[in-house]
Amino acid sequence: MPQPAQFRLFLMRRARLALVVAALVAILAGISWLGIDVMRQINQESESRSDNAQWALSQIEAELLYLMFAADAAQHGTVSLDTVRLRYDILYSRLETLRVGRVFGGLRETATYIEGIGRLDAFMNRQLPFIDGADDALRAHLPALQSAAHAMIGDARSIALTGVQVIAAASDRRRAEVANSLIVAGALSIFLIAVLAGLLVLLLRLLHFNRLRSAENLATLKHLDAVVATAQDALVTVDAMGRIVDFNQAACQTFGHSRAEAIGADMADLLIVPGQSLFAHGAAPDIEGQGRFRIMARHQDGRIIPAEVSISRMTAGRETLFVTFLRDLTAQLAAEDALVAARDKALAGEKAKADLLVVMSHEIRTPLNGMIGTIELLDSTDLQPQQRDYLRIMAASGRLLMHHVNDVLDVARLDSGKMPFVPGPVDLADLMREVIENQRPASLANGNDLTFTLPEDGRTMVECDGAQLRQVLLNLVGNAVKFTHNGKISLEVAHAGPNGPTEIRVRDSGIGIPPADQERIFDDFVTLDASYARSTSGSGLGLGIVRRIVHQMGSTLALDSQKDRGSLFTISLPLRILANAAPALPDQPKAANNAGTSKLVVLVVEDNEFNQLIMHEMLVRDGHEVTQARDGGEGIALAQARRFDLILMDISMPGIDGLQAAHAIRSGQGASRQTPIMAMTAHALAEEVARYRAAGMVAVLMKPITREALKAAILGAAFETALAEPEATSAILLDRKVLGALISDLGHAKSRKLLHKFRLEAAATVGRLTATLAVAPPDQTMIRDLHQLAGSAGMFGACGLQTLLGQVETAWKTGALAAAGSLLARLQAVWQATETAYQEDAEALAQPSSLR
Amino acid sequence: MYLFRLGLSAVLSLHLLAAQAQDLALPELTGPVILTVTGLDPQAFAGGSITLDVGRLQAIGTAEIATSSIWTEGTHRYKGVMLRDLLDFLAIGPFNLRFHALNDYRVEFPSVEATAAAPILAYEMDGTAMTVRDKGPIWVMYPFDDSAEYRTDTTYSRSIWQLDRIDVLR
Repeated sequence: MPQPAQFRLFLMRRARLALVVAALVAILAGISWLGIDVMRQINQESESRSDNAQWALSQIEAELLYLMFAADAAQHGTVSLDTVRLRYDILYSRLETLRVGRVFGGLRETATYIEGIGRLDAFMNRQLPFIDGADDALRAHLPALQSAAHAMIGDARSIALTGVQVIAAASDRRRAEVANSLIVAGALSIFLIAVLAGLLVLLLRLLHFNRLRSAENLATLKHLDAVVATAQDALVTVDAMGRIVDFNQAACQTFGHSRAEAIGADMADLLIVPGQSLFAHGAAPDIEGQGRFRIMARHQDGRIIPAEVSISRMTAGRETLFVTFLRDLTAQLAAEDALVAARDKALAGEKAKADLLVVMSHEIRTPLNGMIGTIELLDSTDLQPQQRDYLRIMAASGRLLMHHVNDVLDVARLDSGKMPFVPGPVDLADLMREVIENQRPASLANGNDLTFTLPEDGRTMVECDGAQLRQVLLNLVGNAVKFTHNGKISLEVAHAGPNGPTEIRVRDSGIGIPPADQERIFDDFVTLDASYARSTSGSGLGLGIVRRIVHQMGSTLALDSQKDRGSLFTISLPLRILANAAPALPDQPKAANNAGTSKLVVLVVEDNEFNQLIMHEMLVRDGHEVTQARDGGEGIALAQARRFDLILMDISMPGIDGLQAAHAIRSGQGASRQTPIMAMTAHALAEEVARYRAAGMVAVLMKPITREALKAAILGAAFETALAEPEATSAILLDRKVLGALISDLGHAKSRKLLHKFRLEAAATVGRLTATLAVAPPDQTMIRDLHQLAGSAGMFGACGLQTLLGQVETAWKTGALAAAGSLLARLQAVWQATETAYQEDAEALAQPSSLR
Repeated sequence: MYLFRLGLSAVLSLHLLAAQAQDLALPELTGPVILTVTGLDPQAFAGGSITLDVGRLQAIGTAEIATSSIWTEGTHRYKGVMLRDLLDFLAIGPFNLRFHALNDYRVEFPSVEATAAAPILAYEMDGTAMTVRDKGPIWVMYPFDDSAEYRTDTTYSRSIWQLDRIDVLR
């Protein structure tokens, strides 16, 4: 069935053809008609112009003369009277003809003719009685007849002359008409010839073009044949019924079928592993909106060939054909697998190194924590001045060592992506005040003036990862303090525009950095000149950490410094600036706020006896009343029994951990169910904060906990993070709000990159965890993996996965290995579902990308 | 060749015999002679001529034509003898004829152009014998209305009226 457009074209062509034919017929008809007309006119002319007519006219005069002569001769007896009568009769018949003959019709319109005829008629009528009468009477009348006839000669002559004139005029007119008709006919003929010539030219041109085109087509066809024949990819052309109509050389090689075998066979039956919806017996490939895709094809020997397919539809005449390109992916997939394996191996090695570093640092930090705490306690005992001096050095060394270890840990975390960017509302005023207060003692020690400036518009609320920004500022301000003596250090914040970026400047009047070193100082383990190193101390990681975090935040870091004049570090942060409302902290611990003026009753839940000791001493020295619990269970029991003002909860505890304990206290009916709970942890990943919050905790104290930090926490001035209201997410698989917030904060590119990384790692971790189902009890690595994955899952909104992992962790920690096993059995399925949800989201988010 | 010549002469002599027989078969003249044919074979016709009246012409055959002409008004019926029949009857071969009118008008006519359809030698118009005043006694008449072939100058010139003699130009 022709398409409507084609049909219309067809009709138009038909109409045009009909028009041309009609025009030609009309012209021919015109010429024919004119020809006939000319013939008719010529005939008509011959009727009237005929010599016959002229003859007839002139004969009147002749016959009149004959009659006259006959009358004369008869008087002399030369001829008989019958001759006179015959002559009369002949003249009579002639006159009759002139009177009625059609040929003289034109003449009868002239007066001279009519009158002449009339007079001749009258003459004839006068003679008639004598002619028809007796011989004697006629004989007697002859002289009269003769003279009367003589008198008529003039009329007869004028009739003949009139005839000559009129006939000549009519003849001229007819000739003109004929000429006219001939001219028109000629013009029409010329026109017809021109039209025919035009058509001929058109026809010749068409012929020429058709020849050219067919030559081109032939060339194209040959070219195409060559392309198809030499194509690297298998090319299989099928008709609308799925039957193979063409099968190129590459297809023969790929599938092991000869061309002869393939032609006419059903493509789905011959080449495709059954059960792939795109290809079915007796049908053309279902190609609507597929693009390129992978299928499983089948070699003649039964081998399965993974192949990439793209199908294009083409219409050849009335037939619809489907050209199927199949690329054998066997080699490519093998290469991909090898590449993935190599990458996994490399990643595993890298991860092992990073893990070692983290574990080592962590393992160093715990005993160091104990040492520092003990030193502080020792400091509050009676000591000799020299002992106190030693102790001060020990404390300083301990803190420095702790600082170094923390730096290493941070670098490792940043590099391994375990310190992801977790945005939340941050009050820059609070943050800067905290940083300034933190650095003030050291600054004072160096005789510096330390100040800060807030944005002029008073907008201090931004969305940011507060912990990371704090670390950046601490490192930068700390650096400034270290290298400035008796100078000025200022920390300034300003918004460059209504929508940012937010600029934070750390300015000092210190020793400055030589231009040659300005690039280098952001590298790891860089300490400048030994002389400065003497006056300061550091791992050389501080600015490296700053660089990492700033880059992770998508920000820029600029340095402007002159030797001996000072330095200016400028960070430009693309932050979302929030309305300057007070951060919503629903469970702002009032008790803690009051703690500055009153003694609190504090429950410390801590399994580590050193830490128990330290916490106890610190709190008691600040005048608080302390109750100790050695594990989660005991903590829950104590909180049940008594109303405490504050609970400090260690997170990592054997048996019931801090999270569970906090949750139990919050959700129970005990006396302390509304008491603020603060988490204590040495390794609080930022994403875990949400879980702490979910368990009902209001703040996080980072170990090692110093007395100042503890005081500040109790005063409510140093909450680790403003905790977002947790979502009721346990029932849903993927919290798109969380994901959406992440994307809007980081932008598509970065969030997709992070998400991609998370998905890769999650898949790997899930794989590992599932693979070690049977292993019981779980080793440390597994627990940490699981712990981290749960945290990451929370950050990327994978609530279902997070919940399940939490349950597994709980099961492991409570020794319910069978329960953990059954939970782990579901892990793969939950992850798959989550992954599918991510894919759907990615499709909705990203451009629809073709298969790679 | 001999045989052919013998055959030819036999046919010719038979023809002549038939003509004589027919000549003899013609009725006696009863009315005025209206047509004289001269220039005939003297061996077949006494003096090489024959005179014909209406009765004789009717014995040879009659034909009628209804037609208009350029010399008359309206359509008229003409009755006479078909020239072809007359020529055949008189065994006139493919010679030229010369028509003579009473007023000495003359025109030549190739006898082969006399067909079975035209012309006729008309002696009656609309059922009345034509007098000299009515272009009688004989008017060579074509069926002009039947065909444009007849409406030519040549035909008009051959449509001689007041015909009284046909001369065979042997």
